[in-house]
Amino acid sequence: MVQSQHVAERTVVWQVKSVEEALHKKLEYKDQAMYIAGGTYLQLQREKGIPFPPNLISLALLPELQGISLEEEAESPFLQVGAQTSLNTCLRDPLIISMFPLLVQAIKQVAAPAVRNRGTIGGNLSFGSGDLVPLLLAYDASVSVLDDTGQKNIPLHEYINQPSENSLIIHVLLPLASVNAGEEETFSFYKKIGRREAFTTSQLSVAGRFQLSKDAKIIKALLTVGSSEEYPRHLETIENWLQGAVLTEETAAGIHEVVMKSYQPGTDAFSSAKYRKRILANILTAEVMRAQENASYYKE
Amino acid sequence: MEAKSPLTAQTTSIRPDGVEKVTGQLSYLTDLSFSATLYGKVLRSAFPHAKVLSLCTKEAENLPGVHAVLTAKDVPGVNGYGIIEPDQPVFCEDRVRSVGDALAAVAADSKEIAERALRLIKVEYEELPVLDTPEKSLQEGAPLLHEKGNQLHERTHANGDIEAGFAAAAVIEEETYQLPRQMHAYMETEGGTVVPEADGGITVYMGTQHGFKDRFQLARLLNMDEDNIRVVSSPMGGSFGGKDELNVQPYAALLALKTKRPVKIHQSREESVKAGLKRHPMKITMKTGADQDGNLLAHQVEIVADTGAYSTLGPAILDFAVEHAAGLYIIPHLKIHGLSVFTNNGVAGEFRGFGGNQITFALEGQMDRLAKKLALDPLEFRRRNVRAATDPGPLGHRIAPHPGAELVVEEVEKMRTEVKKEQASPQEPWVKTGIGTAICMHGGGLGYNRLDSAGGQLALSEDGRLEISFGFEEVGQGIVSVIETLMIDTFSCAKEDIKTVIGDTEVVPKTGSTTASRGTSMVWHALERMKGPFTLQLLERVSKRTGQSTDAMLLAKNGVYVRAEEGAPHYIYSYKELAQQEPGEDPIVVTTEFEFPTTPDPVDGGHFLYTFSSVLAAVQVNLLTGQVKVTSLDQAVAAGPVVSRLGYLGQIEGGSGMALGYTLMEDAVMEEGEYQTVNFDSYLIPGIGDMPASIEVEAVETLAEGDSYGPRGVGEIGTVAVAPAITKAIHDACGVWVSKLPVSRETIIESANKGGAPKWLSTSKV
Amino acid sequence: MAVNKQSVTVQEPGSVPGERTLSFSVNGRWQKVNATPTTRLVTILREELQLTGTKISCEIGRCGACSVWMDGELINSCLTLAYQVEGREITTIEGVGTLDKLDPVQEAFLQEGGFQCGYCTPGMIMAVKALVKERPDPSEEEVEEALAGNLCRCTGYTGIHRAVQRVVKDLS
Repeated sequence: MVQSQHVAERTVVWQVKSVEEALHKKLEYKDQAMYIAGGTYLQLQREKGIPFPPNLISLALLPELQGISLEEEAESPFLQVGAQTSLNTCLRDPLIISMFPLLVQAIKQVAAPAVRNRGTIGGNLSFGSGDLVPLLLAYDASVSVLDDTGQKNIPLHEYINQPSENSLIIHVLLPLASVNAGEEETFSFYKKIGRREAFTTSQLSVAGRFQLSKDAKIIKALLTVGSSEEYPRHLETIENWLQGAVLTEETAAGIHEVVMKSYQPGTDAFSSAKYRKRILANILTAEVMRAQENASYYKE
Repeated sequence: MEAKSPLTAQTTSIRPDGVEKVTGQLSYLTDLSFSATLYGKVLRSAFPHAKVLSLCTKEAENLPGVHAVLTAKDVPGVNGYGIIEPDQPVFCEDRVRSVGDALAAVAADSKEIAERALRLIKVEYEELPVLDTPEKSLQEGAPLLHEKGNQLHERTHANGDIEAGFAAAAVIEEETYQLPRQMHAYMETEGGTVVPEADGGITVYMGTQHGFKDRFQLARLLNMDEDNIRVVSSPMGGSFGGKDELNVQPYAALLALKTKRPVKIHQSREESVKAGLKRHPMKITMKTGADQDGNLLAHQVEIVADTGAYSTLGPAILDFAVEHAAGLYIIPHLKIHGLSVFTNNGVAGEFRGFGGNQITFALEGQMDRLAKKLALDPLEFRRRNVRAATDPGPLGHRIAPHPGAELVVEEVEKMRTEVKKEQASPQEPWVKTGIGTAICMHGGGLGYNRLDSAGGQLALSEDGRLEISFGFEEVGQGIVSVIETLMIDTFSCAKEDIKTVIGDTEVVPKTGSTTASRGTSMVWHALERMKGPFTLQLLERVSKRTGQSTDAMLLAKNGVYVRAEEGAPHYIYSYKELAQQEPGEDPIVVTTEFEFPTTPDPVDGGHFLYTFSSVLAAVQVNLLTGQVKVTSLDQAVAAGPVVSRLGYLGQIEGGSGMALGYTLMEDAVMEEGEYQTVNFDSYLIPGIGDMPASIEVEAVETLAEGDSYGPRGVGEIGTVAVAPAITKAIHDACGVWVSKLPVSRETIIESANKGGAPKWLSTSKV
Repeated sequence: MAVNKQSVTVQEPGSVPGERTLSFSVNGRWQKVNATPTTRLVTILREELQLTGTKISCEIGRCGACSVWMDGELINSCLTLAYQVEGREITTIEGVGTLDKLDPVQEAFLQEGGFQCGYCTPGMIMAVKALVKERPDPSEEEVEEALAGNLCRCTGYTGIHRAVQRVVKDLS
């Protein structure tokens, strides 16, 4: 018989058949249990010396966590992505490809195909630090979660700031308004900078979405960052500075200065805080320039 | 004679070990299983530098499933290993000097039990100050890492009058270059199984670059006769120098002898990172002067190498760097000084390029900076200063004449013209393109006054094949292909007529190490020596049996042929028939032993056979982020005739990839003697997206008139001149001189955007 | 530890620690293996089934040496656990071509020098096969994307690019 790599560990894997049963198990074992989907992250952690908890609650058999659907009837229409949907399934999905092309771009930069075949969108969010989080924050995404108080939708930024320990992500909800603001123009971007071309942890991931008035004024600015050293978050100071600004070269230069003054990232063995700050300033300047270039106001 | 050829895979034949490799059928030594095997694990130090106050293994011994726990007291022979100086303890007793140091080893029923047992071994340490830079080690009052002190080796070389040289110079460039701690990152980590044999001896199934050297070292530490140790050492999933020194062989051997059962050890990646060798980090300061016409006059070099905690081949690597400090340039006034210093930073040792990569980065950096100062084209500047075919070697010693230096400059100039034509200008204003070139010279073999004997054996095997045996190892480089190709060239025989035997001390002759780009060269030399007598022995046997005159016969496919007055020779006797020994006939065996050609001048470590290369790199530098994308990385190599085309191509392409990693991303970062990059998520090697999709490799096959040394090895040269070509391309793109590897993106954007506002901002539109 | 005895099998809603019989298909043959539910697939393949063509190198899903297919999709067998394999179809390098009859991808690697030491090769070939199955005529960018998780230290990848081009040509 083959022994587990980690013989000291006597982990039970619970193959639950409903989300309620999953939650029930989690409430029963609390911090002695974790949900597991693709398991790519948990197994990585285990190889690095963090053992599995005594109980793993496998979400593999839950159909309600699968699938991608357009919920157009809702008050604010959204795309609903089952938390168990693998990242590669997302990449192939026609709805995501047509409506959220930046998400496709971002997912392509998560790990590599073999990992994306197992890793899920819910998994990327549930540890709070996934590469997709900055972009989903910029999309104003929500998650629908199940916990002991029932099932409810909560904004992603609330979920990652105060994840309830036992809650189970059922769906990721992407509001259509974030990519189609009706009359208003939208400009979005996502950049991940790693230490090589692909399959690398993020030195800086940045996502942004500007809603523009007809005269190239930024009505609403969402700006988020994340990295190996920093949990994904909004950059509120810069968002506020952008609010009401007009897309001009002065704004492009100005945002550089604002970032250099206000952004306080961390340092690790591979990139200094100064570097992270500088590249954020440069990227945002370039994106403002690109937004200006694309704005219909300047094209006419 | 002028000969050169662009290499493409189409002009090649497939390698003999290929089918087994692409089907996954090839068993590497870490894939083998033996019945009743125990699993071994090694306890490594918790600290980079500490006194060991006590070590208690009792609890571990009592754990069910544990069969043996060994420490220093269980080493019957010399408690140390090291190819030259056995100063690395098999097990440390009272002091640890690096996080790779071993304290104990366990054999258990499973890997998991062995792991648990390691955790039960109690070690009491008293931490000592960590000497994590050569500067700290050399400070007065620094704790001594070895009895002989903290300086492992010093080497100097001088010629002319350095002060006079600088006094005459019109331009002088001075710069300090810093090189990182690169990891070999072979995909197969160290490991295998040691099997105790009935006669009290052992068979060691573990990869190495020199089976006989492992046997020698193991005999010394096991206090066992060498004849009782058999080392089966090929194939390997990569080595690049990293498996040249002993790694886990001593532990598996000691455990197997103790438990009388086969013991398998296969290091995890993290264990491999902590215990394995790395490329020497070096700090190299160069001051170089030239006259107004661009003639080099004076070159002063100071090298400080961080050799880590133990010697291994540290002295030879420093010697190599000193030897190549002026490289292929003729400079009248030289003053070169190198120091290799012990620290608590793991162990640095042998790595493809052997000190040449570090020194060439600095040297070529100097050449580019001087050319710029003189407003000369970088290649024109080089042309004025490179050696002619018959010039003496870099230490003033006699070497085999070779026109390579001038030829590779010529080739890279053509490449540059081509790439310039093709280079597209990027759409984004903050992406800048640039082209850089660099050249190098690289010595093969171990050098003057180093034991560097080679040899080989040819026999007619019992099943009627031409059996060729060498003590070389197959690390992936394709020595089996080289042997097969040269056998076919030599005897015009068929592939099926050849039996190649390598990688097993029981059956192969002593032919020296598989290092220093010496394999190809030595196979050729051995065959040159053996082909005459071997052919004669075969033909004499046929002659005796058939009455044909030996002069009328020749060897070819499947057997012996008789020359015809007109038309093709006709077949008369098969190798199979020949192998059926008749009474009174002796077995047909020819052996040879010889030394790798060295310089006649008594210059320690000085080489005799050199190869040359030139590299062209084209890059795109993103000034927003400092990211560098290499778009072209072409190379011309002058190493004599190509033997195995696919092997040659692969060595240069693969060497380029490894060197691209060295330039742009690789560094086994250590903080206070602890590795910060213990696996492939933080120690990044290039992925497919980091490399250009194709690389032009130009083989310049021309040799000097009358050269009798045949093909040279190309295992290392492809890695040597890549870094300076890339960094020059970066300079060409954005004006930033890089003097530290891996290239810091931060440096690029800080330097390129000096004065705050990014340059690209005001001047350009998207 | 208290365990709910009512739901103890992998097929059933729950499971207990310790070994159990796992059944899954490997290269078209149904296999029964005793393993704990959290044993890694790579360990089962190499140590229980002696299928050593699947290699181990980083063991954290960052090198691709252990790549196999599960139900036709590329996965890292070091990141996949026994319970996740129950009832699935695994394809390893041993299920791709034979010494006598190579798969076109294997043939292309041979001809173009898509390997040297060969240790990454089984995983690399599984990844290339997964690519050409989905994209018979991939762009350079798609090749780079598809093979981003498979590290090779010997070839510099150029031979692998050539091999993929040859496969594409041979298949079209």
